[in-house]
Order: sequence, then structure tokens, then C-alpha cells
Amino acid sequence: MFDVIIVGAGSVGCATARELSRYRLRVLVLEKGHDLCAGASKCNSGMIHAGYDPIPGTNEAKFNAPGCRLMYQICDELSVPCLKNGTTIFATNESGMRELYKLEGFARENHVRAEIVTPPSLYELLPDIGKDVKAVLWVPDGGVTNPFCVTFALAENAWANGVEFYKEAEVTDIQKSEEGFLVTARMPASQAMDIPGTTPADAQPEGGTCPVTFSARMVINCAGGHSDVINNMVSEKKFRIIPRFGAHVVLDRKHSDKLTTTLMETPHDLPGGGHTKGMAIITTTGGTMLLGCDATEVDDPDFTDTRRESIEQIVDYFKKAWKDLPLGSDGTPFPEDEIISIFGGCRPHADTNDFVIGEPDDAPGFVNAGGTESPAFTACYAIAQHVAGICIDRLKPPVNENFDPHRPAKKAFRDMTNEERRAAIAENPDYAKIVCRCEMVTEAEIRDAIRRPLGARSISEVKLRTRAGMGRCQGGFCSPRVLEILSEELGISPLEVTQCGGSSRVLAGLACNA
Amino acid sequence: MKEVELVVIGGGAAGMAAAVSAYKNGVRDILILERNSALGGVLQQCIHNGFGLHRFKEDLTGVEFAARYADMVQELRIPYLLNTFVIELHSDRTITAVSPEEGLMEIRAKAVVLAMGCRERSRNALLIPGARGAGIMTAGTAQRYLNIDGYLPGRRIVIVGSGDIGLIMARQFVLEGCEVAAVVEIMPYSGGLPRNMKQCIEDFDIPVYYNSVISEVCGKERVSSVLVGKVDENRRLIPGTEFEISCDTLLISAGLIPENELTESAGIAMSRATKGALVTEDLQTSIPGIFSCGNVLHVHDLVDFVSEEGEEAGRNAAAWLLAEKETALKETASKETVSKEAVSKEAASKETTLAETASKEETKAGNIRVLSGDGVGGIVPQTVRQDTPLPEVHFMFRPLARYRDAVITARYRDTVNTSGAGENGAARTASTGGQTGQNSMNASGAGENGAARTASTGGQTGQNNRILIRKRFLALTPGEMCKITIPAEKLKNAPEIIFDIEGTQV
Amino acid sequence: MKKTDKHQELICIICPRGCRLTAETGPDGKLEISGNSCPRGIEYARQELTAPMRVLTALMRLQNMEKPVSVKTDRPVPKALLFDCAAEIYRTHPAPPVRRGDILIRDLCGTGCNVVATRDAIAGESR
Repeated sequence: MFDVIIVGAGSVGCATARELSRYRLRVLVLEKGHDLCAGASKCNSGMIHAGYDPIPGTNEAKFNAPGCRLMYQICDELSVPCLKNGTTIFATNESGMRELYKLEGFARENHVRAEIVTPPSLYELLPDIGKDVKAVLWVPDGGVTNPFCVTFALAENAWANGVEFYKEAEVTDIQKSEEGFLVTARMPASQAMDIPGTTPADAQPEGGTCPVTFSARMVINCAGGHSDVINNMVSEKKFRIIPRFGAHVVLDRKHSDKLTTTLMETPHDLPGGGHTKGMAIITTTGGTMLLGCDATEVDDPDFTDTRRESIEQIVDYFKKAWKDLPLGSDGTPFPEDEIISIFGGCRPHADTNDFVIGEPDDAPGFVNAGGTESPAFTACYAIAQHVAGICIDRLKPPVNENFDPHRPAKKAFRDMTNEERRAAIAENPDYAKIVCRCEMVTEAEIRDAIRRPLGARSISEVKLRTRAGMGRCQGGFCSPRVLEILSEELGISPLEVTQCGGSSRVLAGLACNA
Repeated sequence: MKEVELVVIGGGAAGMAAAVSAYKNGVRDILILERNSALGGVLQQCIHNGFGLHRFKEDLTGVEFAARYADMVQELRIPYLLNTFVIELHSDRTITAVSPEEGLMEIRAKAVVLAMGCRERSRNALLIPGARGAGIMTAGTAQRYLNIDGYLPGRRIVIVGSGDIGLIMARQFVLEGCEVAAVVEIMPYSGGLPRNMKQCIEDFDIPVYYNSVISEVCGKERVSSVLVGKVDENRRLIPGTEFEISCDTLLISAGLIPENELTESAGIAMSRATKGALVTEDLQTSIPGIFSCGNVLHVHDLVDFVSEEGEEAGRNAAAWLLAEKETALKETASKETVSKEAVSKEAASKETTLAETASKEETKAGNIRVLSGDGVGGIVPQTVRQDTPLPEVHFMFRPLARYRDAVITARYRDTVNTSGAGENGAARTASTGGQTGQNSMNASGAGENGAARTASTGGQTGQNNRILIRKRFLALTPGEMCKITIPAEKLKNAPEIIFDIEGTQV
Repeated sequence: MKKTDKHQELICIICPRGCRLTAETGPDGKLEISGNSCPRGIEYARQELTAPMRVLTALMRLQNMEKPVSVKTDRPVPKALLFDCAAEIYRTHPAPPVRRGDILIRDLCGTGCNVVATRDAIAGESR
């Protein structure tokens, strides 16, 4: 019997798990993906939104600004890199100006610092901004972090404080029971067999999966793109997720030092219209730059293919807007040949047009944290405190005296000084083996990412944790070596190593065996 | 800090050749830094033949070609460090590198040869849309899985781009019992060598789709098929032309990019056309004493030319080091007569650097800019010093289109320095652009793309073209680098050198 | 390759230059070859039009070794026999150590060509 089962190990689920680990509760997180951070959190830009743009009075407005403050705090507690470099929304025409004034009003109501800046003070704030820019809304509390690191760090810290996790465990049914809920999850037989009460007879021949039922006093729905499905299993107050796909284009870090803040144009008249916060250019904590994103409704919330139309929209937009940005105001054309990657995913937009938070009337003990579209990543810890609070009020658990808010984390080799590097190598010579040349990721860090609790089990999971393969060659040089290391660490044949779990094996067989 | 006379970064074909030739030209204190566990670079995975015909007059495999040079390095006892990765290169020619054996080391080099090679353009850089699961990799990565590790990355393969690595891999996959379903090339012609099209593609009846792109990759966890569509003259997909090819693997063989992140971090001036350093005819970059050669300078088609260029760089680095030594001796001598005081070694070397910089500045006025004219792209070197000590200068570039019965000319306009207006406007623009840069090499950098071509048009209408060389070719393609050698003395009076290709475009 | 009765075009694969050769059969049945930059082109065209030959390079598995060794035929083998020759190479598993230049198969598939190692493979040594 668990006190709380959390469905979904994205940023909101992991934040909730970590918040609950402050108490003496038995908490289980069920994640359907091969890895944590597999849905919307994986496709996130990492922007920390200050909270200037949600419509006042909505859940999005209620959780955004407090979430922003909490995000900086947890990045600090869990040693995750973040950058408070402000958000700058710019306008180049009259309708853009009207939009700025509207956002300034929202910011005021949402208690978010924001200020409209016009020339000449604009040129003090942003000396390299394009001359067509009429004004900007300067939001000093905006920032950027690494959404994967945040999610993994929250999960690791929750795990260290006693929370249990199952990956590849897809919740297929939730029934109300006397004590609370019976939650059934389908998981690989190999994993299920270790759970007391599961018998080999339960294993389904097809795919080797097994249904396992857990009982819990309370359930928290953090299932993002599938939060409608989970809610609708329990409550008659149904809602629907409308997945909104957005893509990002990644630029090499060559000129990112010129970009001192995140810049975005007012969303008006842009592709995607009001569904995006605008086309943004963001310097990531890794130094690369993200361009995006658009918004297109699709059917599958797990859709992550890169759409031709999205890429073209983004590239075409930035070709035009480049002259307004600090990187192009001197006439430098958009550097199409510095594009190193593209990625995309879906925002879990609910048809209620807001986060779906709290207990439905007809299902006490079942707590929603769904419809978690942007700015849910920024808001994740504020949402977590709220939904965890509902559980605490209900279950009245004692405090976990052993709770440790910190996570031991080593600085990335790439961010170390040479003295720190020397010391790290002296301690572990694997630090001198550079596996990913482009992002300067060492073998020590890759092995650590696999060995850590809830660690990486595939090439792309190593990438999300270490940046190996995220750079300009996109894993061309390092993936064969990462594959070898995974095979060694996991004790499997290289032929069994996958790109991203499931049937995504990298290799097809042995050569010269024909 | 360790002091070394010549550090070679990269132990592939270019780096080994540079080290060997520097040794043969008198340098004894050499160190090769190689990131892999063996010398040879990418040649270690090139098990196919066709190497060495120029250099060794023998048909060798890539592995054997690498071994020839590795043997020379070993016979000459040139020191090299394996598993050694350079993490920093500074403009004062200090280098930071790491290796499991040596830890973190800092090396002060008198001269440096850059020979880091290149990387492949990735699926994402090509903006190929669609699924992002397993089964998508560059041809070189597949080559590594196969030839080093002994694994097949797939069974039914589609190749994007007709670069040489992809063509070579197509043949090997077929001989491994796999099926190569298609080669999809965006251009109307192959990007690889004609002989590879013949012996790797035509020999095995592999379908090639020209003017075509992958419009979508399909599949969930692994590739299951691709959609192939035609492109218009702007290389944009023509909607409605797509058809599906089933496959489990998509190989990317669509271009190589020099790996110049270290070069750029040292502040060396770069060429937009070649994506390599801007160099003078001795392959010296904008930082004195730092040379560049092989695929990190510009992407070659043939390893033979890579090692040839490496040998050139090694020889030039040796000559430069010798000249430096002489200058230093003179400096020290004159210092002693003035002040009689012993000058510290460090101060002397600083003086030398300053003197060198100054003397370089002076000669810049006499530098000859090398410009791309009609049909010519990515020319190396971008500058020739008028007082070059070399007996002849090699120019390498790529045709921008396919030609039959083509003529390559090198010419100059001898009015370029005297008249200020009209036809010379473009050339002037180029040089003005350069003055905003840090040194004269930026001038050719700014000029090499657009301005040079304008200049050449101007030149053709003008009457004072002096032809330096004319060479006839039966056929030229962008897949084959052109190499033109001109005796240095012919260049002495040229204020500039413009290369053009004339011929029938096909 | 364009083929008519009397006129054939081919690409020389002897060196990377890849000369475009033209072969004309005269009224006397004599083959006239043009387009070549060196005498090897003529030799290649005659061979290619009668019995095309190719050097085969491949990987070969050694006993008790994880990674294969690279090999080549020491001379070109008939193009028609490439697959047979490859199969024979895949079937053969010599014992290490193998040194660059070692002959691993003699008279491959009756072609008279030998298969030689193009690199060293010594048990316990990684590349």
C-alpha cells in the first residue's frame, strides 16, 4: 500500500515526488516512458518564464510567478545550471506595441516586474538591437535552465529521500477502492517479476509485458499529454488534451555571447498566433541557441517527429527577423549553416484552456496536475507544492527528518577550470577520455550518468543527461563509443543497446557473417 | 609548462605527413597529439582501396596508407601522444590537452600545425524532417560501426547524398549481403568521384535519384521507410512528387565540414568559403607560426592530396622555425651590444614575436590576394606573399558546377592598382572590407565570396587581363578538387590572382 | 555507361582522376580507345569490355577475436566472382595473430589471387 502514487515522471511529477519526500510517506512514481522526462519536459526549451503573460486569474497566472522564483531556488539546491538573463519581448510595429502594453498590464496584475523600454534607453539595455525595434518589454526575472537536468535532479533527489520509481510502467486502469485507489500499470515482465505478488503467469507473451496493480491512498495525475486519459479513468468531470506541436531549431554556440537575454517578438501576426508565446531566440545553459517555436494542433500527444512545415516556418521567420536581433543588426545574414539540430514535441493543452489542478468533486483523493502546457515547466514546483499540499492536508504525515534538499552533483568537465580538471583527472583518469568532442563530455561523466540512480539506459538518455551527442556533429563521432560504454555498464551485448529504448536498437547484426 | 618546437594537432594523414616532413627538414623537437588510440585518423576505418596512387604510386587501402605514414613516424622516432585531446589552443601557441596517462598538460609550442580533419554534416543540419528514432546516422559513423567494431548498422539502406563515403559504404553493404535501396542526391549530378559512382553504384545497379530529397523519415522507434521527392531549381521540394521507399536505415553522406573549433577559439581568421583558416601560400594562418593543412583547412577528395598538403605544411613550418631562430639570434646579438645585460629567455621570445608581427605587417602591403572568379569556389590559399621563398605555389579550389571541355585560367588585371573607379570598384570594395578586419587576410576573406566574382566580371570587360596560366580539362565536377601549380616567379608582379573556369556547363 | 554496337563510354577506375573513356570498334573489329590520360586507361578499357576485374576489400573474422580484421585481394578478381569471393572470405576464420601483409587465403575461389591482411590483429590488443 502506497500513500501516494504519482502518474508521470515529467517535471511536474518529479517536482511533486520531491516535495512529498519531505514527509514520511510511501510514494511511488509510475512513468510509461523508457526514461523519466520523456514527454513534454523533454521537448521543452528550458525557458524560465517570469509570468508576465498568462491571463490574470487563471491557474497559469497563479502558479507561474511563484514557480519562477521556486525554479531558481531548486536549481540552486540541486546544483542545476540556470541563468537569470531576463526576457525581452520586442515590437517592430504598432500592433506589436499594443501587444506590449497589454502584456505590461498582465504583468502588473500578475505581480511580475516588467517595464517597457524605448530608445534611447533601449540602446543602453541592448546596444546591438535592430533599429526597427520600436520598444521592448523588459522582464528582468525571466531566465533559462536545462529542463532535463531539472527533471532528473528532482527525481534523483526524491529517490534519495525515499520515493520509489518504475519506468516503462504505463497506467492502464485506475479503480476507486475502499482505501483509496487501485492503479494498474503494464510493465516489462522482467521488471514486474521483482514486485511481490506478481507471478510469471501474469506475463503476456506479446511484448513480454505484465499488468501489476498497486494500491494507494491518493493518486496525483501528472501525466502531461495523457493527463486527460488518467483523469477520465476516475472522474466524470472529463477534459481533453489537444496536443499542440512545436519545434525548435538549434544553432551552434559560435555567437551566443552576443545574445545576453532571451528575445522574442510579440506573438501577434506570427505563425502559431496566440498559441505560442512568440518566436524566441534563447541562449541555453549549454551555450547553444534555440529558435522557436511554432504551434500546430496534432492528434498524438507523443508526436515528436520534426515537421517540415514547422522547420520552414521557424527558419523563414528568423531569416526575416534576424536584422532586428543583436546577432543580425550589423547586417550578418541568418547563419543557416550553423543549424546543428531540430527537435519538437507537444504541449499538453487542455480544452479548458488552463492547467487542470486539484481534486475533481467526484473523486476525492485523486488530484490533478494536468493540462500542463507552457508555462508548466516554470511553474512545476509551485504546482507541486499545491498538489502535495492537498495530500499533506489529507494524510497528515509526519515530517521526514532525514530529508536532504541537496543533490551531490559534479560540475561538468566542460565548465571546470583547468585546475578543477586536473584534480578531476587525478581522481578518475576517465575524466581525461573525451568521448563527445563537440560538447567535451568525458567517459567519467557518461559512466556516471548510467550508474546514477534512475540512470541512463540508451544513447539518447545519455545525451539528455550529459549533452554527449547534442553538439554540432550530433553524435556522429561519439555514439559508437557511448554504445560501447552502455554495453559495458549495463552488461548487455552491443547489439542490444538502443537509441531510445523499446525496439530502437542501433545495430542490426554482426558483419561478415553473410 | 612543457616546451616543444613543433606541435602537430591531429595524427591522421595530414598530421603524420606534416610531422614527417618537418623532421626531414631539420626539426627534431616534434610532438603529435592524437585523440584516438592509434595514429591514422579516419583512415583506420577506410578498408577500401584506391589510396596512395599519387603518393606511393601504389594502390593501397586506407588502412595501409595510414600504416605507411605511421611507420615513417615510428622509424624517425617522432614522439606522439595517443588518446590525447586538445581542449584549448591560444593565440600565443600554448596548448592545453588531456590524456589518461599524462593528465592535463600545458604545452608551449614555437610552431603549430593544425591537422584536426573534418566531421560529417548531420541529418539535423540538413533539416531532414520526420521521425527521430534509431537507424539514422552518417555514412562515416556506419563505416566505423562496420569496419572497426564489426557490426552492421542496418539491412536495407537508403543513402542521402552521393558523397564518397556513402558510395563506398553502399558497395560494402551490398557485399555484406545488405540491400541498398537508393541513393538520393539533391543535385543533378553526383557529389562523389566518378570512379566511385562507377565501381560502387553502377556495378551493383543501385538506383540513384538526382534532384531529389528525403521529404520525410517514417517510423516510430526505428526508421521504417522514407519519402523521396523531387526538388525544383531552388532545391525546394515539389509537393506531390513524393514516393515511399521502405528501409531500416538512413545513411547521410552529404558533405564534410572542417573541424575548426580550436582554430576559431585561438582567434585565427577564417574563410567563409572553405570553413577553414585563411592561409598564405605557405599554409600559414593569420597567427604567425600556426599552419593548417588537410581536411581542417579545406575538404579534400583524396588522401594523397591531404598528405601532400601536410608535407608542405611541415616543410613550411620547419622553414619558419629556422627563420625565427635566426631572427632571435640577431635580436639577442643587437640587444647585447646595446645593453650588455643578459636578456631573459622569455623576454627574448616575446621580442621575437613582436618583431615577427611587425615584419608580417610590413609585407602585408605586398600581399597578393587570390580571388575566385567565374565558376570557382573555396580557393586555397587566399593570399600569396609577394616575397614568398617557395619556388611554386599550389592553388586548390572546387568548380561550382559541372563542365565539359573546360579551361581554367589564372589571371590578373594590371590596372588594379592605378585606376580608382569603374571596373575596379568591386575589387576596392573587397579590400576596404578587409581594412575593418584585423589583418590583411581578412581582406581576402571578405572578398572571396561575392566581391571577387564581381571583380572578375569587371575584369573581363577590361582590356588589361594578364593570363598567368591556362589549363584545359575534358571534364570538371564539384566533386573533384582542382589543383593548379604556378611558379612563384610568374606571380611576382601580379597585384592579385583571379581564377576562372570557362566551359560548357552540363 | 552508354552502349551502342560500335561506340561505348566508360569511366576509368584505375585512379581517382576518373577519365571518361570512349571505345570505338572499327570496321576491322579493332578497339580504338580515347579520352584516357595515361596508358593504363587503354588497358583498363580493354579489360573492362572483355572481362571486368575489381580489387575486393572486406572484413574477415578471426578465431576468438571480437573485432574483425580488414583484408584485400592482392590483385583484381573477376567482377562476376565478387560475391563468391566475399562469401569465401566470410567463411574463413584464421587464428590470430595476423600481421599486415599476411596471406590469409591462397588462390581465392580459383582466381589465382590471394587474400592479404591490411592491418595487424593481435589478440588482446585493441585499436
